Amino acid sequence: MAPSSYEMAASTLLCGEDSSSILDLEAGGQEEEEEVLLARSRTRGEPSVVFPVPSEECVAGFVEAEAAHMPREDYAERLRGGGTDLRVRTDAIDWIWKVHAYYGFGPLTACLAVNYLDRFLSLYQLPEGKSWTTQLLSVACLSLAAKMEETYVPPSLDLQVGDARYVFEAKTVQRMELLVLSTLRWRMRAVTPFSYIDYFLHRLKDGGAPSRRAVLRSAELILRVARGTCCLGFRPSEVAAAVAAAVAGEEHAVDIDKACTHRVHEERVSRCLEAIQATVALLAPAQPLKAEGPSSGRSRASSSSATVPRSPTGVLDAGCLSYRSDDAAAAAAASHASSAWRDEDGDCSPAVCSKRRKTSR
Amino acid sequence: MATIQHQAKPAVAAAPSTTTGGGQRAMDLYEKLEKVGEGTYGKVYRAREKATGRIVALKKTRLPEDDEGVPPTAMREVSLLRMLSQDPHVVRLLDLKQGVNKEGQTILYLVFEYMDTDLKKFIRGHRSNNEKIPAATVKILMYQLCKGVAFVHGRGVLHRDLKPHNLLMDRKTMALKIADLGLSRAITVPVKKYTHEILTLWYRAPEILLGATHYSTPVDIWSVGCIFAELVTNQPLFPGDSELQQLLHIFKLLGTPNEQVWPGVGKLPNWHEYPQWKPTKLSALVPGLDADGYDLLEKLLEYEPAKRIPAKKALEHPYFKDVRKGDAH
Repeated sequence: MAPSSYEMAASTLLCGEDSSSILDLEAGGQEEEEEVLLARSRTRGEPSVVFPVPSEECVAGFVEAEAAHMPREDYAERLRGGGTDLRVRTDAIDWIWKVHAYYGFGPLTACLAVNYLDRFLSLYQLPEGKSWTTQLLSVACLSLAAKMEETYVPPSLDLQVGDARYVFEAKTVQRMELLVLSTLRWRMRAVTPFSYIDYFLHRLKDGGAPSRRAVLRSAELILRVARGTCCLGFRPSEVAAAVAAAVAGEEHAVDIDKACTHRVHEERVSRCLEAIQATVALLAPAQPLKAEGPSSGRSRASSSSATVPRSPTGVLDAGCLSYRSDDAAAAAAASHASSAWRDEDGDCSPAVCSKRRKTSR
Repeated sequence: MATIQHQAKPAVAAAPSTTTGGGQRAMDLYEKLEKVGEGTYGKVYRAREKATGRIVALKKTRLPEDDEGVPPTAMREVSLLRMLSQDPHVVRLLDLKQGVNKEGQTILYLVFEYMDTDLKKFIRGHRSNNEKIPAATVKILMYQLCKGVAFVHGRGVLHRDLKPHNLLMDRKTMALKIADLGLSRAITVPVKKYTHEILTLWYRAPEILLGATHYSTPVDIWSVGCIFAELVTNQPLFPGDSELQQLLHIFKLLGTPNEQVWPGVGKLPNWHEYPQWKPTKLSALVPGLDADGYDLLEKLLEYEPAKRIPAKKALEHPYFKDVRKGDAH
């Protein structure tokens, strides 16, 4: 087993200025993109290596494990009913996508963040009418995903870029992280469509290596699916098989049988494929994602200088006053992991306030 | 004939549960008996579970309320153990407790099955007694190590820090288990470097030392080869004390690699002109193995990562023929 070719592509992209390309492919630029990618691979001086496909054994292990990494069964139905959970999810994902693009994280990080969000929302009732809890949950999910998958993870204050309405202290983010971790029973090594996509692309090409374009396009589609709700009830293996079929089908006629094995049911893959194609048709052309920062190519070394947006004045004042005026209450809050977001009074937490960032680190 | 002792299957351990504060504090459930070591990110204690009298290992980590939040190493280890713990050759995570200390800081306790020693202590014990580890014992331990690594790799995970200290043992049964997955990574994630991590260099694969960013399962296989040699001789095979010294140690003994033995080596980021050493025979470096043993060792220590024998293939190697007979497959 070796890194998936999509991750090699993602890694190559991360070395360049255009790190958001994998999420924002323009149809006309694909050929140029491929040349740029190949050029970058060459200039990095690394030997060209063929990455083997995940083995049948590995895929079987993932299929066996994947159900434990999905939202509870009734979640998709709840979202289709609209209402609070759907709004929370939409707002959270919008924010996650912005920060993801800003820092140039890999596609798997975005996919994991959404996985954690969906699993959490399917199991835990956020208090209603407190919009800051959506923001805090978004920060926690993206932070946890980045920690699982990225080499560099910004400190939690620096992570809160973009047009966030609230900015949370590090300890508040940590408490939320712990709540997400315990709610998901610390199963953060989630099986996602990215675990399978190389395998299915190979099968659809009769064992041949997928093209760079197919890998990038697959990553784009997987993230589009993760962002939407059309495929929420499908398993990651089914989504991956359907995405592989959709992408391969853009190049040549595809017999979907080849993507299906005794582990993946053809009928469900076909339905998933229909849902994906309907989504693609509705959304084409893709909405470009713009990085929110001063420069989408900013290097990580300078990320600590990113300006944290100011909290709304009212929230800032209320939070600071509340925090300072009652040390006992603050201490009590500190000892209960979930109390920071169970406040009954108003729409803020004592911990929500700006603070001067430490200069070291 | 060497065989692995097969214990009666224990009653299925309860699935790990996570509890948050409330009820009893973690330390009210366990009696700490002694500190036995440090893992990647925390202290390890031998402890007794008060309710059952069972002896366990408690790995404790304090979560400072700083910018990092929950440490990535803790998250990765727990997540991976949740995935891998069912294999008999990976240390079992029994429970996870979350509590608060007197200063109000969050404390995590990972509760593991207790293993009374590790391979490092085992080897050192033999060295200080001036005795070799019996050949049959070496074979049994190596077979279990390859089985554990094959399982971990089969689940798409790199360990990245295999060394004798991370291989726990039970002296009576000679059972061996892989532990300390805090630096492990999913195989699909390209790893740019060991960020801020200080690791023993002795078991590190040459492609990592030469700065490759897209390394994979063969790095663990190299570590297995180093451990194999150390089991035979009681001495580490490549004991370097800096990255450069580590590379030079390897090149002096195995010969300086070139494009013939390792296509592409010249393009790795840290490659430059090294002194041209010729390889020494493994039988001179690691006296005490039979022909099959040398053949396996050679395949584990191949320079070219793609040619290093996968753990699953290693299990089929003739060296393990007599051990396999006792394996209930």
